[in-house]
Amino acid sequence: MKISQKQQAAASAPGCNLLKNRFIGGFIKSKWYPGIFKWPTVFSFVLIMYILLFGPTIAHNNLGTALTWVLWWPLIPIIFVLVGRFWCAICPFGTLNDVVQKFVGHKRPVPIFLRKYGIWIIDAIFILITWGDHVFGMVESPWVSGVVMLMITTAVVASGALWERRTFCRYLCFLGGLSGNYSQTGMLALRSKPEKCAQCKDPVCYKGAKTVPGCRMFEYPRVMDSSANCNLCGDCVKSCPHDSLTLTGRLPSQELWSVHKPKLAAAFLAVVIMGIVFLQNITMLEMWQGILSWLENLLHTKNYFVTFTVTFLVILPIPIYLLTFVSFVAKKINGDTLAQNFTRFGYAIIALDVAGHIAHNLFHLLAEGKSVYITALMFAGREAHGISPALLSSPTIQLLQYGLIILGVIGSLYTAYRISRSNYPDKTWGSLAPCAILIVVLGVINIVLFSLPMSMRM
Amino acid sequence: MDNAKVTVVARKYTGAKKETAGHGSSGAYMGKEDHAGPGKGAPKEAAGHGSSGMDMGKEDNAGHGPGEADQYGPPVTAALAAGHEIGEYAGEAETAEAGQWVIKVMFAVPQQERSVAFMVDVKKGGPNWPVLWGFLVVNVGIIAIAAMTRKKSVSSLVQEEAV
Repeated sequence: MKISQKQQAAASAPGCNLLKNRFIGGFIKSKWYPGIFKWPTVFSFVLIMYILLFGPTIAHNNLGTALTWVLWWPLIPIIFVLVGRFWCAICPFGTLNDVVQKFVGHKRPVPIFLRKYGIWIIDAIFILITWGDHVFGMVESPWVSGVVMLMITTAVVASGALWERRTFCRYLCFLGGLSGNYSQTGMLALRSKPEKCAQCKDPVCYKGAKTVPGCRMFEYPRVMDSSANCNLCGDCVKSCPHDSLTLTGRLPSQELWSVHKPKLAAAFLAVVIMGIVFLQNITMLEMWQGILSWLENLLHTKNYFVTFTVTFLVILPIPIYLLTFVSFVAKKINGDTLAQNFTRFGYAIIALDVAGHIAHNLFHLLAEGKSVYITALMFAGREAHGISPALLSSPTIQLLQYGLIILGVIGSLYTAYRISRSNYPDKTWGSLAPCAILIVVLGVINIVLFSLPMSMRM
Repeated sequence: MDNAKVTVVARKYTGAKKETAGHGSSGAYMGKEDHAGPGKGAPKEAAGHGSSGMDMGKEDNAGHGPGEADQYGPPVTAALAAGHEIGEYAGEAETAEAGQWVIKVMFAVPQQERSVAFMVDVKKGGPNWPVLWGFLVVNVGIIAIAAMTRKKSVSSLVQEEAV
């Protein structure tokens, strides 16, 4: 990977260090952070689990469904853009992992296969969960949602009991994979000052100190150049005796063009997410029933398992094929391998991924957002008839969706340009052109899908 | 759609009378077990209508619905209210017991009356206890085994910490 010195400097530039702010720095170094957010999240999670498993069986009436799929799920990609992977610091599953580990954990080293293939396993789990969501109706069924959470809980307990730190979060959590990608578009970056770390003889930020654990995500802040695996938990800030850490603001997506070692699996996940966004949009279109009927006639079966699986296998790989083709064309221009082009330009898709994901969920958040209030009323035993769940009108939501996609296209185009410029200074525009065309095509497909009427989750 | 009257009624189907056995398709439900029994999370059927949301082509009891002589529980009427889309109305009829329920939608405008009735198999609400116990046993088992076999791992660099 050719990285210019200017780019390296930009990646490690201290900027405005928010930790110097007395309030922010003091708060992050205090014992209250991140616990003040973590424990209410744990309480909310337990309540949601209870309502999902023991509450109304119809999603429409279930507060757990509304809180999970109408509020939390749409907000989560927005959180990644605003504050990076901070959610992972307060995630109830992560807290459960820490508690189990503290009391009964064997703290064994992470198996080599997990370290080597962790991101691919996450990719596979993400694809499987998307498929399972449709086939088993995860979102539409509070019970199935609850059971999926119980399955994750079991995996977290097993991981916490067996392996060290947050092995599950880093190598197995499908949301962790998503957050790893999205947090690179995030507007906050935690980094260290190289000149201070150079004097350090005892890396407590990684190993841990008496009262503060080492980085639970296996990151060594001294060499960390990406926010993909930084939870902003503040442990390294608390433990560093040299006050080396900085927390700086940055432009959304800035990291995408300054990643030193882009990973093929992360680029693959980026295009898989684009396929998933397409799939989620298509299956929520009102015309989806017509498409299903057509498929049923074509395949001579009314079995949804079969018809959806066929749809899944057709739609999901489309962005993968497109990026492969684009990388093949770029390879002819810049002489790099297909895999290198795929990996580098795959990162450019992430900005559009985030925009598409937020835009899709914006519909649920704004067209069904009041269902949280309605189901809360019902949970409290009060009548809630005749209240519209919409926060904004459909045309307004569509305008916001178009705006987000346009921003995503601009972000992806600029990222692709910067990637092309730094890696292929002599053939910048030639190398950029195929990827730029792909980004515009993906943007247009998104806009067309958002222009069609969609059905609700609740 | 001015002056249109739409009524949605749900009634529990408790079986066909002997003399009407085999009437329409309702006879097919005679042998099915009734999972009656009120419990937590009584299932609800959402009923709604819109300008294109209902198949008005089907006539009352057009070969699929239950017969008039069949036995039903007391009717539960769904009060319709404006939905979130223009022209959409929605309401809920609480099906307090599991089993076969008949949902009947009646639509009336001057000089026209249509209705459609259909059977809905309402499953028993509430959690699946064997599944929940299964998860509990597995998780407690993992923790118990881990606690019994725990030894300080020398390979770990992590210090004991307060969560």
